[in-house]
Amino acid sequence: MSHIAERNSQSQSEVGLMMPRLKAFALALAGSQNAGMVLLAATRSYALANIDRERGHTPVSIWTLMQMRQIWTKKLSARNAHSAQSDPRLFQPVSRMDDGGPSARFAMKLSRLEPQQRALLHLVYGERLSYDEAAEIFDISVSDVISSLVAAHTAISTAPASSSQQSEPQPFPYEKTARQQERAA
Amino acid sequence: MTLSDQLLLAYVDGQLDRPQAAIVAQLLRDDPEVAQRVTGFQQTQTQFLDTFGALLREGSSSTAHAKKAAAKSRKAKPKFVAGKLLTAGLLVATGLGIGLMAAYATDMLADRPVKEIVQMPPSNWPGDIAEFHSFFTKESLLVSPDSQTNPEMVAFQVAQHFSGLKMPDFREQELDFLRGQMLTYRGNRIMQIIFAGRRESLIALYVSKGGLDVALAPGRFGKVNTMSWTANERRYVLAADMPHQALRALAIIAQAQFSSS
Repeated sequence: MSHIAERNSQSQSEVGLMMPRLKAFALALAGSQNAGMVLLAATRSYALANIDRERGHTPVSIWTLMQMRQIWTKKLSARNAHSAQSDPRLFQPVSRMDDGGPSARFAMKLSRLEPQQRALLHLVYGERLSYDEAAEIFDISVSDVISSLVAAHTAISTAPASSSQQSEPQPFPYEKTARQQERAA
Repeated sequence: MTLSDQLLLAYVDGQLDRPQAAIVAQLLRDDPEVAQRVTGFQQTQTQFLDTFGALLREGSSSTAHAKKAAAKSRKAKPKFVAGKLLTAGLLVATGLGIGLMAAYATDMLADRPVKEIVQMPPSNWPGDIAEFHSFFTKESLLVSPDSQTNPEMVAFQVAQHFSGLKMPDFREQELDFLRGQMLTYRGNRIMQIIFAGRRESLIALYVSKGGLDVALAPGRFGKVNTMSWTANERRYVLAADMPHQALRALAIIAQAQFSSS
């Protein structure tokens, strides 16, 4: 009995450690602070109550992200379907706020993506999950994951409001040399 | 052969297995149009990695903006400066492994409200240190200092361990050789070569034995950006606290020097 209690306690502790990551995923999905916090709370409650019974051999990180995606799809996405556009401030890192504008323009572009598309980007480029893991969390095929990512790349690179070139830093002194060597090769 | 955007993105994201990646890499070299499409994906990938990586680390929220504004109104933050210095110092000591620690250190030293700190997971300090420790062997530490700071002796080690590989020369880019040392990564030798510039921060090149060719790929660990690639059965990582654009330029210069050696 004590062994089972220890295991349960460990699982719940692991859910606790996942909270910052779940919060970031919730904000990517929900697109607003309030909806994100509701989603986070709902996922936390569900995970703590069910993790030991349902998780099996799935890693805690994948399982909790999966539960959050399911809760979003079943209960919350419809509620937010008619809500205002996502809050771009959620997608501008605090550490980039002083960069003079590029990060704010990029955040604006991210806020205009579909929630599921943005959440996929978060999983692949934030969490650095594989396409397979992202597909598992979204319960879609790997092919659909890649198509969605390609669409997101295209949308970001062609979106108006801010040219991606504006966010490029000035050329470095030796970049010219690199380009010459690249051409020579 | 027409390559789909899906295949090219999977290549850029490092999601192909080695044989597939090798085929795409070969086609890239032969077709400038394909190379241009890949460059486009790499540019947006860099932006995604940078933004989503930072958001995940920061546990970003809209309230964080208000907190940042409030922090600006307070007096200067010497602790944050200390974090940056620590980041740079740690890079000198160990490079990649320590880059992860530096991210932790910077996060821990930044001026954050108590509630933010409570929400963060506990530091993996012992785990990071254990990883740091695993990079070093007697071979790393019991050699004469000269063998780590003399460029000719380091060049000899590089050539000996990596089948005649020539040490890169970045003097035209105003980056001087500082030191080199042999480390281990999961039992394999890895050479760390550090360069220092007048304007840029420290730059480290890591070389180990690798597999099939993989094109340049950006990465980010805390404040340390990386540019990695595999060529001629050697893996390379350039790591520095500088933009990916600059690292990519240096990587191309290094590649040109390696191919002529």
